[in-house]
Amino acid sequence: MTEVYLFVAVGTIAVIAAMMMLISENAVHSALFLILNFACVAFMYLMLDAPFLAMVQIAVYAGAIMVLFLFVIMLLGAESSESRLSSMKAVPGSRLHTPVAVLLTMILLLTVGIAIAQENVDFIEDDGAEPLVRVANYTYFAPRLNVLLDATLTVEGLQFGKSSEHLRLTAGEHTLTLVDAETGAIVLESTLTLEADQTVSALVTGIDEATLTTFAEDLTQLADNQTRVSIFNATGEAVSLQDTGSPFGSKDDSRLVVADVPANSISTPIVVSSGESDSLRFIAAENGALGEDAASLFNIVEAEFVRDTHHLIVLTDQPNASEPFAYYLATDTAQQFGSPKAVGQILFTKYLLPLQVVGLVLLAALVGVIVLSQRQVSTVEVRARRPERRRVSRPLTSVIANQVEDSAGASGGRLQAGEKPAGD
Amino acid sequence: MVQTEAFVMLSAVLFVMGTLGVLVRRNAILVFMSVELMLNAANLSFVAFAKHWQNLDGHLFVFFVMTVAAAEVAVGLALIVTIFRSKQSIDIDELHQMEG
Repeated sequence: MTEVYLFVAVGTIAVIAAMMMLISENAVHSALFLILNFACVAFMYLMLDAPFLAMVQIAVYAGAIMVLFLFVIMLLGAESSESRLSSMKAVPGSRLHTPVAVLLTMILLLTVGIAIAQENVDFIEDDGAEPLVRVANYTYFAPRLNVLLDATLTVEGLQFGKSSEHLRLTAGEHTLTLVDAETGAIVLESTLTLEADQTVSALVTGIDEATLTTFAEDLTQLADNQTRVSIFNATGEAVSLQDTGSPFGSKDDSRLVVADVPANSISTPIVVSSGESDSLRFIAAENGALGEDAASLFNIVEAEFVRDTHHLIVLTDQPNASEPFAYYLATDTAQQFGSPKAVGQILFTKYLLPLQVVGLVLLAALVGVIVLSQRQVSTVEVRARRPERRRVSRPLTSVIANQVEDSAGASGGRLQAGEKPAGD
Repeated sequence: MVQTEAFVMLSAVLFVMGTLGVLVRRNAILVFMSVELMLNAANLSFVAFAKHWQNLDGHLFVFFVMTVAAAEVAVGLALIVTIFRSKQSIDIDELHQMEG
């Protein structure tokens, strides 16, 4: 609801500012109202998950473009070109300026004071981001779980093999209670200790008894062609993960053991190239050693590792089978929608050519502005110089003309004098 | 959660106000500022639709519109200054030598 109220308030301010821009007689006031309108639009961008554009809006529009406008208005003295009365009106209106300025200052001080009093402003150090937690359900006896965090119902009906969204919690201790959604019986109760900047996964596994395993994960994004895979082994015995290369590779052409995972633990993340399909095989490993008779436990055929995704493979025992089963848990690690990084990434990949074209347009504009101002200067200079030249040169020209006539006459005489003998 | 329609309506209102400004005002600088208002209104609906379809292309278009608007403002204001130097006025009703 807060969002709707904010939208209505800021939207009203934007419309009123636009209206005032239209009706105010002083062009400087119009420009200031337009800046207010741009700031409101920037706020709307923030509401629409576009923080990068909001900042560009403030910096480019409210900053650069409007300063240019104000500069030209002041330069031309065009504040009130449509009506001379506004400057007269401004004098009685100026009495209002002082109380308004004082009021605004008081509001600013009050806001800052409240922020400091509520300890929202931390001058000393950053506590780090709040930790994120997700809960994944791998309990066979409770296919739907209700997740309670600090005795409040957070996730309802978490299905088997699914994970909840990442929940944002404060750092510190939290109680996690899992309740069977169908019977209402408490499946598990545990304490989570969270630290700042952590991304924690809480996996509940078990065939007839629930076990909770929590571990921190690294969900930061890797390079374009790489993705991270972690393996959680919920079975009672140690396993190894083997890269078989081809889908049905035999045990003999064992290529690489990519991870050794002891019982009930998580492997270190393996970095694989994304976009390729790969075949992996879980094999029983005793004490990490790979014997000749290492039994193949589970084959993953043609696993595809998509980019911008964190893969978690959970290997669990099955209730009515001797062999375990592997479940996937994929988490999207792509940048947040509208963040500078996401916008930058698409700008320099898909929109690289338009970016270059815009750069050219800006260059053309730069040259155009220089040419426009240059011509103006030159015409002004020519106009200014001509009368000066005339004034100075008129007597000079007559002097020169006299001299030239004299010399011409003299030389002409000489020539004539000289030609005569030549002609003879 | 504010609906996309609300943002588009706000954008429409701002756009109409910009159009009004272009049609009504006679000061060339104010006409120019009204054009900026219209560009902004269009940008707002771009961003609103980008959020609605979860597609970043709208953001990129806004980025390009902003860049081109910056270039346009620089050239436009230079033109206005040039016109003011030759005509001693930026009232668009007095600029009719093109018989427009």
